[in-house]
Amino acid sequence: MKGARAATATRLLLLFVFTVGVAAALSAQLFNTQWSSSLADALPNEVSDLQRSYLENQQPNAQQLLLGFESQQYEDTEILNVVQQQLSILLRAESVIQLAEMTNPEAVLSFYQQQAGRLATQRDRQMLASGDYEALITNAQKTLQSPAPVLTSLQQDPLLLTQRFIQQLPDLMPGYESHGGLYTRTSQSTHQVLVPLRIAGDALSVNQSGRSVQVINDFTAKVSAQLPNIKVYRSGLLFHSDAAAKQAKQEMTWFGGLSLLLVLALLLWVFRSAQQLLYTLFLLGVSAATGLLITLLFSTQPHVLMLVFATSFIGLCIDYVIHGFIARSHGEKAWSALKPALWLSGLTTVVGYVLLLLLPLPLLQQLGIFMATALLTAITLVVVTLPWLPEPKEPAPRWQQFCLGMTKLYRQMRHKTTTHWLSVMALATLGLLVWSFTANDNVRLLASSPESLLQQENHLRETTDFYFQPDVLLVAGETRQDALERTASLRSIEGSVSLYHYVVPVSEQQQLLQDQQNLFNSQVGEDYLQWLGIGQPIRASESPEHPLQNQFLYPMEAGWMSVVRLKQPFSADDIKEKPGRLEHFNPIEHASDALTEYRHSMQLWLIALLLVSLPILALFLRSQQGHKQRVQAAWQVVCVMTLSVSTALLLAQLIQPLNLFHCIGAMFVLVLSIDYGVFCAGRLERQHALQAIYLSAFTTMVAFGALSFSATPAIAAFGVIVLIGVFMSALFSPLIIESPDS
Amino acid sequence: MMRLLVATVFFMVSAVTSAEDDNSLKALSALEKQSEPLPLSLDFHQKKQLSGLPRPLVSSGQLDISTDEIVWTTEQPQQQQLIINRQGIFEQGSEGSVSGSDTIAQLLLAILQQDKAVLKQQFRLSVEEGCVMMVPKGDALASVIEKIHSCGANSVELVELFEQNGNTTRIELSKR
Repeated sequence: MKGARAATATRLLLLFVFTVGVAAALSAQLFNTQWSSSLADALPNEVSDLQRSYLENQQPNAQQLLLGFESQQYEDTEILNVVQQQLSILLRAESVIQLAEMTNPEAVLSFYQQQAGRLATQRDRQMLASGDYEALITNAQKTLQSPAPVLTSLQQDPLLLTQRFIQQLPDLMPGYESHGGLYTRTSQSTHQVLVPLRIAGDALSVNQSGRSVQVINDFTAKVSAQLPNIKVYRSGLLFHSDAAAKQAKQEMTWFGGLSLLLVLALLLWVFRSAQQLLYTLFLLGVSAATGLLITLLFSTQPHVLMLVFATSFIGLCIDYVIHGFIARSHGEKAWSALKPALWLSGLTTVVGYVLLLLLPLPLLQQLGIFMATALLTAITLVVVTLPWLPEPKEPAPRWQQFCLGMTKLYRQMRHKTTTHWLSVMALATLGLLVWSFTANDNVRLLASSPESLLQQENHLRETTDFYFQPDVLLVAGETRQDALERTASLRSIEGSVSLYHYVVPVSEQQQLLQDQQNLFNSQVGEDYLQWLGIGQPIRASESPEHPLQNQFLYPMEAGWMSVVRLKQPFSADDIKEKPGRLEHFNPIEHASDALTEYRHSMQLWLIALLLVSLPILALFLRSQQGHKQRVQAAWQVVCVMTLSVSTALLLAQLIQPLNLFHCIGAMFVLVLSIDYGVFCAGRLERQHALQAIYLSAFTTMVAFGALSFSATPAIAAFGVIVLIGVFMSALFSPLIIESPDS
Repeated sequence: MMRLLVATVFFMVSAVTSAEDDNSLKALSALEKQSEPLPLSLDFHQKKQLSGLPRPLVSSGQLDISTDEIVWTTEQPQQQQLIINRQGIFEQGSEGSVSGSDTIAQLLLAILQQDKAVLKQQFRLSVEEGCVMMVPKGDALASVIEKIHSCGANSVELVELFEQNGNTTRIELSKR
């Protein structure tokens, strides 16, 4: 008695030391870990340095948004006054919300006034270089005698070259007038006032986004109250993320809350104790911590998305505990029969996850390390520590009766030809899936926004004419000037706007100054200066930073990058790409391509796991039986796995084209199917196996399947696959012929 | 006491607002008086005083104002014909307009045609020493133009353009 107590104490001490050791090591490791959260880091390795730099510069913490007020009833000045009045109250009260002036005409004009004489149009520069002095002087004289204002200093720029340069600048906000950061335009008797805003706080904070949207909505409501019937339009990621957060919160409250209650109620009813729940929490915590620790040790920059992909671990953990508790409740014999099945299903799944390491995607490699380690820890802990607990009560009698009834029903259904038609069904479903396979990895299809918000966004996009295409051309340079010089060759692409359209490199400016010097040293030049009554022009100093520079020029790790934005869709004929120097990039297409690559890798993995499972199961399942029986049992398990996953994917694609999130769901279904199949094919008494399988399937379907009702297509995709797949697996795995020694 | 204070502030604000409205109405009425039926042909004499230049640049010629456009013909010192319409300022014989000149063209069109709706939209109007004074409302225009005077009793006789950089343009108009 004393010896047994001492042994228990030693075991508990060892478990405690292991748990504390893992927790301490994980805390230390987490402290030194830099998590990646940007999409750029999740993309496959082939993203170039240039593209990566662009993506990093496009993800500032501050968020931009645009509000539009429109009316035919009110004058623009009337709308402007009310908006200015309410906006000043808003800006005073909310320091994180600031006006995001898009173009500051005063600053832009001031820049060109300082640079007068250093900038000229391409045509003027050509005329100057070719010595067409008289034409240039005549042009200047004509400008001087026209009624139009003279914008630049004649002493710096007697030929008014920079004035003509200003006049041909692309207008970033065509037709709009600036009023201290607000913009007005009247078009076809519709008066429009635009309010560009910036949220200075953390864009990733759901609470802050919600607060910002609330105060902005209050602001628009006050404007609407003062100007009844005015139309309000909103555009910006903030509104979409807030709508998504509210949607997710609502879904979590209803689906999450209800499914959790249902699952807890069922587990408590079946096990008639909270012991199983507490043990599951412990197992989840220790296994996940171990998995995470090993992942962090092997990965320099783990990605947060890996944790999203790893949600299936929770389901698997719950499944192992349910099987363990039910087997233990039926006595030592049942427990002994379970252990080999538990090891076999667990290790087959672990081998499957190890296969992820062969894929060239860091995110999936990290997932492979995490899942393999966490599952191995979970199985070991279940096998080692579950017998330390007091023997649990047998499951609720009604549950046992139900499972016994099902066992008898399946026994009646099973036939000599079961293997044949199970094979036919699996292969037919797989064939049908391959034949009708429809996938679409467009990232735009993964998120959902309220229709009204999309309409408002589209309205502003169509009417304002200052949104750019997602396509950009990226030009690398060792210095700013170098990047700007290389951008020069792209200036003629139709609909393109770059910094080169607003300022030319210093080398070209110096050439222009030299050419002007030649003109003013000529006789016609001297006569012109005399006519004006001034001496030789004063040279402006080298260019300060252009007010629009931060929209077109970004720093890179080594050097600078100049961005050419496009108003029209990109045409491949426009440029000849030079990797590392000049690249076309569309972040949305690129993200979609990355998702395609991930999906392809996951598909390969699913096929590989199916293929690997067959020999492993044939080798270890029913090891006491003959070769033929072992292969038949393994084949039946693989058929159930194939049937479950194929049916789920086949039915899911009727709702939406398949994407990566369907594959993540399929991954979960496949590993659960291994469990169900192995437990049915193993030495376990069938009714005991079904008690666990049905409970596990039901809880999984309720908890994960509830996600299929999500309004977010990506989450719904995962939920639908798990719901259908787990149902199919639970439906067909009892058809596997029972082991004679069960 | 509080009520008294609120009432005083209210009356002060009302007085300023009504004074502004009153001034604007007077300016609109003056513009109404200055407007003449179109088409209209005038002689002009322009004097541009530019910062840094020791003497003004003087030019003269004819103006033909119709509802759609102004033909601005400079005879001295250089022959030049400009067509000013809502799309911009075009030089006779050249291919396109001076890019970006549409705003200034629309403004000149509105001033010389006495288009009160456009002027009211673009400027704060008031009357000063018998002239209508126009101060731009928008930042872009205000960064270039400080104010414009339109003077004359029964017709526009003088337009003065004061730029932010110190340049002034004085255009005297007379019946041909």
